[in-house]
Amino acid sequence: MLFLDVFGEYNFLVRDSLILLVLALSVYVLLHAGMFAVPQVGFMALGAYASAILTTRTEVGLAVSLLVAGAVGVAAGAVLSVLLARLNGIYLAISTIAFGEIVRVTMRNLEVAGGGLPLVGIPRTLDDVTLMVVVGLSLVGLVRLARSRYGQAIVAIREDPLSAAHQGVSVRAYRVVLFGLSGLLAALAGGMSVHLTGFVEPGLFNFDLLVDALAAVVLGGMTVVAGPVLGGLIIFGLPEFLHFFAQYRTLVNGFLIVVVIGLAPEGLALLPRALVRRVRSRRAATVHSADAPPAEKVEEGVARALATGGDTALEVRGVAKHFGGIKALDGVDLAVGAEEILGVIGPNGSGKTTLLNVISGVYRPDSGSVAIGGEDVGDRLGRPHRLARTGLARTFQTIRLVQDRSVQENVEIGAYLDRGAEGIVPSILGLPPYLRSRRRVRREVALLLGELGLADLARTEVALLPYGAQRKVEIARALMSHPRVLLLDEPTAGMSPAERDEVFALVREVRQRHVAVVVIEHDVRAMAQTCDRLAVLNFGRLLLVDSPERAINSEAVIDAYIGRSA
Amino acid sequence: MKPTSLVAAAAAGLLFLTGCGTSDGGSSGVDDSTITVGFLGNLTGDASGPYGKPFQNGMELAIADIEKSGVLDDAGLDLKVLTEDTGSELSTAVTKYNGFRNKDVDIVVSDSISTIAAGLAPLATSDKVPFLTGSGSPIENSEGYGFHLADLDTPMTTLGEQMAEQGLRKVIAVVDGDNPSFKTMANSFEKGMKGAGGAGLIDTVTVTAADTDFSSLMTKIQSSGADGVFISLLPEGSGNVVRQMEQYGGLDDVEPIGTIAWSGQMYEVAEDAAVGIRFALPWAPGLPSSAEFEEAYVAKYDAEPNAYSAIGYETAWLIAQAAVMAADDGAVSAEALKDALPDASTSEVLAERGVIDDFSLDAAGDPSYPGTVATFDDGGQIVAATD
Amino acid sequence: MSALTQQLANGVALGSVFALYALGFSLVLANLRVFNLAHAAVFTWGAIVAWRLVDGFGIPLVLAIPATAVVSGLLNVACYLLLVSHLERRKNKELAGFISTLGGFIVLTEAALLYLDRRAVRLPSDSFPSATWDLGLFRINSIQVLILLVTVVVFLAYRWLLRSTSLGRSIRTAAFDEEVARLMGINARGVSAVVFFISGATAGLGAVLVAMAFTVIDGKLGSAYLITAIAVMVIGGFGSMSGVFVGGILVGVVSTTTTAYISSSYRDVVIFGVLLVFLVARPTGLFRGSDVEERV
Repeated sequence: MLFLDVFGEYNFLVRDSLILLVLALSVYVLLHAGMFAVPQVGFMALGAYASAILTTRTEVGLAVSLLVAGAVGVAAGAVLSVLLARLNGIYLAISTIAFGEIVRVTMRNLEVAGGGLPLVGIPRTLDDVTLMVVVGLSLVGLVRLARSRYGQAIVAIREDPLSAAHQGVSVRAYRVVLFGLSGLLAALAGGMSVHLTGFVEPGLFNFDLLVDALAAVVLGGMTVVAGPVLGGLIIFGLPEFLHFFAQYRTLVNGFLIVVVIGLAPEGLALLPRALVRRVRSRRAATVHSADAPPAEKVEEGVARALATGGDTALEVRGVAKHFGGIKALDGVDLAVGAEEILGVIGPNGSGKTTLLNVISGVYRPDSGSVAIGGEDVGDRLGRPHRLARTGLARTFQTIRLVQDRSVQENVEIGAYLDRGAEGIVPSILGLPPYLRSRRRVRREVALLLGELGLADLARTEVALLPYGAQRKVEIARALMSHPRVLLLDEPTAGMSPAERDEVFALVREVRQRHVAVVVIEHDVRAMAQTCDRLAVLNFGRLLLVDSPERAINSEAVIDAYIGRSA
Repeated sequence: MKPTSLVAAAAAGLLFLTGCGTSDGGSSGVDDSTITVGFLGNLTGDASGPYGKPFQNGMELAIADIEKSGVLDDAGLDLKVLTEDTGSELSTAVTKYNGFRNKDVDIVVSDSISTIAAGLAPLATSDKVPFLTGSGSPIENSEGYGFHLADLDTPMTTLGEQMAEQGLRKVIAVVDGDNPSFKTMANSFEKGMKGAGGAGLIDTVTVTAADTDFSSLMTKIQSSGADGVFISLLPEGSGNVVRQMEQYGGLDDVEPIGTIAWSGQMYEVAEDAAVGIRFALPWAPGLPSSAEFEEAYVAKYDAEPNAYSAIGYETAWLIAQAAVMAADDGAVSAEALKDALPDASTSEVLAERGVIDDFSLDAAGDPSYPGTVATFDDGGQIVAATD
Repeated sequence: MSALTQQLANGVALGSVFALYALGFSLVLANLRVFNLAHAAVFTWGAIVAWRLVDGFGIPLVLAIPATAVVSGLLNVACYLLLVSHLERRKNKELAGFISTLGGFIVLTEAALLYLDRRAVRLPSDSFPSATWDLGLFRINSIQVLILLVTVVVFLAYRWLLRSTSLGRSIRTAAFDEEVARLMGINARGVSAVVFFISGATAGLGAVLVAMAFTVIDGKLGSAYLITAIAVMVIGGFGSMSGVFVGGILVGVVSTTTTAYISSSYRDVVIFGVLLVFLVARPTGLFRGSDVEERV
């Protein structure tokens, strides 16, 4: 069935472009997760040669050949991601470029792969149904993935990997899976390509091909599936129709890359939306959130929290952490009750943030232990995504939300762990368990936003909100995971007094949801009013933990702040 | 509303393209008196300078000569050439090839690039159209439709024989590892040397095309006491080696030897050091037997012809003669042309009119000719070496 | 054994070229955290400019060299202004910068190929004297000595600049924290431009030397050294000048010995392989550069 022959002379070009689209999608898979890696041409070469060698030496059909190519791609992707697990940014990019070169040079020297000469005689069995099925499934699969909780997790990873980890997302696991997926698509593209042309040679998988695929994704947009489609149309399809320009296409590609990255970094596919947003942001006045209505308990969540045993929500024992020669934490002991607000104060550099970082897993402590809900967290220390599962949530000094998404979408990601029922298959196929779970989460989000006075802002883009509202959104997100312990690191930094009061009111309300709160702040007066107890840190040591009046009037504390000589 | 009109627009677009593209199937590409040649030339892009344009010029010149000779008229035949530019790109080449199919060409010709040759050969075979390429590597010939025209093997063997006869005993080779054709040429050269009673290569150093520092090679040449160095690299790299040999000093007695891959670019890099160095080509200017061709080419194109001009010229005559022979036997179909090509290559007409001495093509699609030993003259021009 | 020492000597000379290339590259990378891929194209254009001056206008090499360095420096500054400076505020500026300079690299390289009509050119052979000296264990020629000397001088000059001058202090401050630098009255943009200028000038200088030593100038000149330079920086250590210098020599020696005793195609695999091993096992390289902890 060669229905693409309807394109007449351009039938090869159309098929070739569709195959390159799949390659562009494999580039998109990694880039849209913020993973700065470009091994796809190497994967494509592996898939192509696997298919080529298999079908020139045996009698297997197209389906088996593509299956084998795909399997090779998945395996290569997974293995590569494990090898490069600790690399990020430029290092990751370089190593994947090096990988592509190694594959190419190896293929060139391998006798079984033709020893550098074109390997010909590959059965040209690629039919259009298979091609369209692969393209179609890839597109549909990726679109549905983007809408599922996995897609949300990927957005979170792209925007802020540390924050994503605190929502329970295992960045490392996602990396392996995404590399495998990227490998699958690129290898399939390779396999299909050799069954279209009938030959393969190492020179085909060169830097120019990578640049074309990269250009297509950058031009169209790295963050949406429509991006590579639009970009692919421009990069692969257009030059054929503009003959004079065809000679200079590499030059023009490079130029387009610079222009798009500079002026329209979201890509052309999202340009309409970006322009609309630019217009809207000029018109948006400050948005105020409504006053918080009286607290209503969210029944399910409370029931879950109450079900946990023990009155001590968080216990920290003998925690120490040093950086180089500096002892940031020097043996800290703390216990926080299930409905308590514990304030942590101290001069700058006293170790407050480090303490929170150790508890939430940003750092591994050098010694000491942490227990949540009575259970020692053990080897989860230093692993934020695992600690998140024990009922821990936090905010950071800076706002860590996905700025270009709505309030509702941001808060939804907080329920990531809660949506285990939405497995990958039900999500992509749209099965009932997925739909039910998604509905339930959306209801919860709406309810929570209502309680916090953010209902009117549900659809508003976070970037348009004032600082105070954004912080509330962060706290809402944290609450979605029904935590036992909520850590807040200077939540009101840089806010106006009115905003500050709102946040402290919210903190008091959070306590009523049976959540223990540990909050770091500098406004000692507000802390004294809000907190049940105050812990005072100085030079990594706990000076005292006591009621607010006793704490702020203690000589030792005043000494620490003002620095009277002993 | 909107989606519907979008679909309608898409449908209209498809119909438009369909209208542009459908072939009328039906006829088997036979118009008994006109032979349509589809020429897919690399007229722009990387391959245009050294291969595409010279080949096209050679073909054009040959067609003018064929017309003057009346060979086709006598047989009641006519030659038509359709030309398309592939831009040195495979996908463009295939698109243009498809276009030719729709116009029922009898034979397809491409000047160069092994990727294009490898990609088009299976298509031509399944369409049962003879396909000739100026590429040096063998192509698919399962049903006898694929022919390549550049012989990398025999001219190098000839050169090897000559070098051995001249008394070279210890030759070291430097080979470009990126493309196996370079290794093939070294093998042929060695075969030639041994065939004339000489020794084989004493060592082979493999480099990559991008290499510019040959100091390790220089050291090897010196320490091995070689009397000759066989340089199987791209022209720039080859020129670079010769230059660095000069710079290194102490290697004046080592004779550099080149390959069929050499071109004027080599002289541009090595300048005076290149004068007198021997290499081999399918054809080089300065041969008495093709003086007329040279003159006519220079007069018409204001440039010296190169080996690819000669191959292009030869190819046009080959096709014409094959057509005449096929017409003699009956109909001039694509299949008949394919069958006639080998015989046409060894015919008297081609021996007389062609410019490449002892040119022959076999049914397996491989060419063979002794080639010419060439060198650079004082002005940097490539000429046949006379001695 | 003398062949081996000769190969080692060749390796040191070749390695100096790598080191020179990598020094310029890493100056920008370490201080501005920009992976300037366009550096490779600036290198290529440096060689082309030198060729144009000497071959086209007949300017003696002695004058052409500094002129080339200046022109290359300015070209690199143009790259900064057009490709990098507008991305400085972005959240994902590393990725954006990489892609943007990749685009710039493509444009400039294509332009070079088109300008040279996809051919290779060379400096006229009489533009510089070439002498060879036999030192017993190995021979060395004047150009190799010149390259080694220039590399050492540039390396020392970089160190002096960064450690002992006020400009160097400004550079290091801006590298540490741009906000802080601004607050201290340092013109961060101006400093960045100067860094790009020095980097480009070094590239141009290296390109002329390479053209003298290895003859061929073509559109892909800078690209050929790019991957090797990256390997040098990873192996030697990104932030460290000494690391880059030592790394360069090391890679040069590996390169010549592999070519001599195995083959050059495998040389690439060897270098990439070593690169990957370092990236996986010891990404900071042999010498630790200045690292900045991530603030949370």
